[in-house]
Amino acid sequence: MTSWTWAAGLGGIGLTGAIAVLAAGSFAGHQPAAAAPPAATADPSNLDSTATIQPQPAPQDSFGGSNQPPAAVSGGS
Amino acid sequence: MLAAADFRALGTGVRVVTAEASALEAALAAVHKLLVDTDEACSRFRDDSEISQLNRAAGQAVRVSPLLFLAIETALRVSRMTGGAVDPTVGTAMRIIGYDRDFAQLPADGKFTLAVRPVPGYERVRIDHSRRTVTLQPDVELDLGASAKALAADLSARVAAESAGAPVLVSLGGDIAVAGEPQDSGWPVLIAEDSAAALDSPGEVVSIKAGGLATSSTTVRRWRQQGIERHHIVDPRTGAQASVYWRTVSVVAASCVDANAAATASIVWGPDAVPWLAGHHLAARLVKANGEVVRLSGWPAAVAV
Repeated sequence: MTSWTWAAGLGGIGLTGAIAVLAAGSFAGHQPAAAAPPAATADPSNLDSTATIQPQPAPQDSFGGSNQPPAAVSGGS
Repeated sequence: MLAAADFRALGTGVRVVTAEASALEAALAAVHKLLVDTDEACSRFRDDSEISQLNRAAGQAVRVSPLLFLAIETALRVSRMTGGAVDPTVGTAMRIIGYDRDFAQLPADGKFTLAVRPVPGYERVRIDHSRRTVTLQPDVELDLGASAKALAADLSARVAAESAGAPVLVSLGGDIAVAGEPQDSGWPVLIAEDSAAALDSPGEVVSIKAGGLATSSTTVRRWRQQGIERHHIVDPRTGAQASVYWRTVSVVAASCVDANAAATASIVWGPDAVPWLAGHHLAARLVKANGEVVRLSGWPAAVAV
């Protein structure tokens, strides 16, 4: 059973939708394209065959420099 | 016109920004609810949280809430993604190096111990999707801190944008997620070593329209144990705090979870992070311990404010 399937059974439409969308994007339809230098080792019982284990870059043209006053700060915490 | 509100939750600063002032109240309510749920499910510092109960039940299959299940599943995915550089079984190691309570309650100079060892490893966490159960092998203690905060940012941004019907930015301690149709120019974000920095602090400003932006740093959330300076990023290979090659790493990705995972793993990996980030086309800004800045995969040159 994939994540979004059980997520669909949650109460609370907002959280349900958020988990479903996030889980679908995170766990479905991708296969590893390249191994990371530190080789991943995992217990096969924990592996979801539909899961991507590669980080996904931001969509093209969704990121760049800015000279606008910042709305938030990204830093360590 | 942007509207914003700040408060504290999950032991860190939270900032919610909406593109329309009329959307802020609904966005705030949605974020607050999600963070309360996350705290009850994932906080290692609460005896009554679900994860604390799970940690006390090592060796048994425990049925957990959908939110905690997703958080654990996400943490395991992050571990696989990073080859174990970010590992949720650091719970015991975090306690040993003295990070055993909310950071605000840590003593200025706590008791010292050298009993560090490699963490048990994420392979010792079993999850059963059909029963929604989690089984920790004995001596395994979960700490979802590295990924649960980023997951909460992703989830709360989506919930808030849906509830408010407007674009939303959510920052949880500097881990940022955005959702909804973005403004034309995107959300401007100041890059700093400390997420508590003032918005008018000097520094680089970048713009994101989708996904997440996260920064990991060894220069904040530090404490002392009998005179030895500690920071909160553990190298799972040793169980001790990671050595400091990069003082701060910022990464942009399709989600805050992925950005946070890449940033935290980069701190652990040191110089090996560069080919990994570039190979995955992750825009990143890395600051060496000596202050030298490395920009990767299209991270823009500095634009001073």
